[in-house]
Amino acid sequence: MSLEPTLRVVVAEDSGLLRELLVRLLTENGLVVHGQATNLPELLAIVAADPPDLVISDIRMPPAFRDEGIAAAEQIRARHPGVGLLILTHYPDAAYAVRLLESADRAVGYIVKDRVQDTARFLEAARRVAAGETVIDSQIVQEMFRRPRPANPLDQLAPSERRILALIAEGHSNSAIATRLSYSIKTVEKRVTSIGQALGLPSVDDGDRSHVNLRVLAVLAYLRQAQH
Amino acid sequence: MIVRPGRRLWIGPPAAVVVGCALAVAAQWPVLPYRPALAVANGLVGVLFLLTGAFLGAEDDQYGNGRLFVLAGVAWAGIGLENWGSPPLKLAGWLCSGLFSVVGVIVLLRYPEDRLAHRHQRVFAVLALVWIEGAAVAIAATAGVPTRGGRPAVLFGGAGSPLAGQLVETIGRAGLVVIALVFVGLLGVRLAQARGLERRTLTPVLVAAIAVGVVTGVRRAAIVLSDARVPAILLQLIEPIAMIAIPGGFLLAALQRRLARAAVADMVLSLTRPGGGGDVLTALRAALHDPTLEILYWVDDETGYRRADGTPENRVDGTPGDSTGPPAGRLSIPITTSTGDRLALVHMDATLTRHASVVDAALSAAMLLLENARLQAGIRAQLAEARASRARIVEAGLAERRRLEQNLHDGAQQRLLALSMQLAGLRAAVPDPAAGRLIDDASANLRDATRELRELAHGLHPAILTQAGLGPALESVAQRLPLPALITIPDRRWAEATELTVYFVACEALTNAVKHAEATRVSVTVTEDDGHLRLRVDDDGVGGARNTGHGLTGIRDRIAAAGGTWSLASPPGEGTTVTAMLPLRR
Repeated sequence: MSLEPTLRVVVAEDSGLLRELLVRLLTENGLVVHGQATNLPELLAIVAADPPDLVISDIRMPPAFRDEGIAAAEQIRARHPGVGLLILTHYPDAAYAVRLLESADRAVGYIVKDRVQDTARFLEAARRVAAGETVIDSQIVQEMFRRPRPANPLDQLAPSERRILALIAEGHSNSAIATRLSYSIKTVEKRVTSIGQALGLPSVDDGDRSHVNLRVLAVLAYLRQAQH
Repeated sequence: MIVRPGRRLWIGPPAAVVVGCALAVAAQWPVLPYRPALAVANGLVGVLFLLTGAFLGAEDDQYGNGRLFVLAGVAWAGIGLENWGSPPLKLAGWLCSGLFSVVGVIVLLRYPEDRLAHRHQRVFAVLALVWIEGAAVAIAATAGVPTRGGRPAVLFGGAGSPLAGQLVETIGRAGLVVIALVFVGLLGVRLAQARGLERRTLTPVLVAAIAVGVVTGVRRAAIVLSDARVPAILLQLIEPIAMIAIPGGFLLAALQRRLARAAVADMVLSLTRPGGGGDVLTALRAALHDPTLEILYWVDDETGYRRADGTPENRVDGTPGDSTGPPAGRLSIPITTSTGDRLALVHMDATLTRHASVVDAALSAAMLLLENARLQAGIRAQLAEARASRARIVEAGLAERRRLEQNLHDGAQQRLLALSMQLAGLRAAVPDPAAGRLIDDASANLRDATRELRELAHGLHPAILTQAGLGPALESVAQRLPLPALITIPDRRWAEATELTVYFVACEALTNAVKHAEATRVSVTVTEDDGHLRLRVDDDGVGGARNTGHGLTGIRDRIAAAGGTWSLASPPGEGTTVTAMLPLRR
């Protein structure tokens, strides 16, 4: 199914049935499941022993069933920056997305757990995170756009700019956005710059790396609106 | 109420007083014709001692000291025997003088108690008596007793060596100086250790004793130094005049004590009268001069003794006591009602035992007030128990919701998710389009069921609240509202029970705003000030909400269980404001 080099994945999920199904899904689609964990310490131990390309982790696991997935992401990113992090969440809340993006500005994903029902989109998200992109679940992004709020700075954005910001947040590249919206890449880049200005983000030089930063900053600026 | 010895018969001492007075007059008789002032002054001191003894003896707790005073008065009168000129009477005068000094020392050291409190004081008293009387006898047997004729009369058949006499006299006097110094030291220690009522009782007496000590010392020094330039009569008069200060001091203290009994009852009553500015605790502390006094009220057999605010007694180290035994160094007085039921337990400074009658007067005056206070303490204890019980019920409810959410999350939700993954696998494996459509329909139904279950679980207990805090949880609620909501909240955490209460109250208010108020925008503001968390939910709807609705009753119960207060302002046409204040437990 894929021509990319085989991805090595560690799966962390405390429900045995679900973990088994996830592993089967990944294996059947050509990924190598390099380790399975049922809780936070196990996950950290497996990653420390042999860092994989990608960690797919439930947000809520033993021991405390709180936000172990986010904690794992923060610790793994600090020690093994090359490992992609895809966190599965139950409730589409923005607060965790902000925390996650604050500790990792690339190769990170935060998607609703129901997404695993849609095999193709789930695998795409996994591959994009492993490839270094940032993926925020469209459901979370949509709900935030839908969320009416007084004095929303996003209201200054033109409808086309908001569509682009949503796609950026979901982790699409400029060229993917251009294809999807039938714009030229130049137009997309121009819009991205104006979005950055509207949200009061520092202007950045054109370049691949800073581009990623601008994306993350735009999403963060957007998500943080939810906190105020 | 307070156990105290029964009143003893006062037969012996009145007879002693009469005999003593007669002796005082008889002893001074020879001096009266040529030194009338001195004779009268000396006689007066003896009579004053005797009368003070009688006065003190009439007091329950001063019986023993009264007897000693009578003895001192008789001894003082006996000193005058030396005026009669006969050498044996002269020696008797000396012995009486020694007895007077030692009895005085004992009274001053033990007053207002009935016995010398410490072993070293008793040893000192015995040694002083033996030394003083021994020295008098030894001087009489060596140097001899001076007579009017000039030649000293040596008693007990002694040789009468002037050198031996001088030696004995010097050693005897040196011992007296030591005794005097030790005595002053012991008095100083007593005064330094006295507290509260005891200090008040002791002060006039000790001041008098110190005055006498100073005057006597000055007089002795003046005799040695003045070389008769000061008229001899003045030097002789000054000692009896100063000596009057001692019975005077005791009389003053006894008078003070009698007045204190009446004053203490008045004080308790006036302080606790409406507008008197104090409760029964403040009144008793002030009346008994004991700021550490504590009152514990009997609630019932199960609860035991409680403080006025309904809280259990704390020991000095902060751990709850069993309220049965008194703390160390404390006097514990159980108070019972006229029907014999337990009423209260009063802890006070142990030195107040010596003022049983004053304490008794104060507690009697406070009786009715104590009964009232006990009823109040009982009600407060019950109220505190009811509050705690309601808080526990709410807490248990919250814990149960949290458990249910966790069960749904770990069980049904995960299984449904697994099922939908299996359906997706089945869909891929079934080539028949008709069957495929059926599977698609099943998948869609399953997705809806999963979503509904997730919302149910979220409503039971917002996981994000526990994990991320009140701000993100309220934001998550706002996200699902169909109208604009402005959330303002400090970025910090509070106790989980507090956060949950604020969360549910905010949800209830927001639900009302959406369902009934026809609001177009709402704002939720959480602020922390002065140990309280304040929640305010405003909407711009039609207003007119009444605080009897089911939802608002729920709000009221939750806030009350957390010990908080709330208010509702909803004038018709002007929107609705719900405010809640919750105490922050430290």
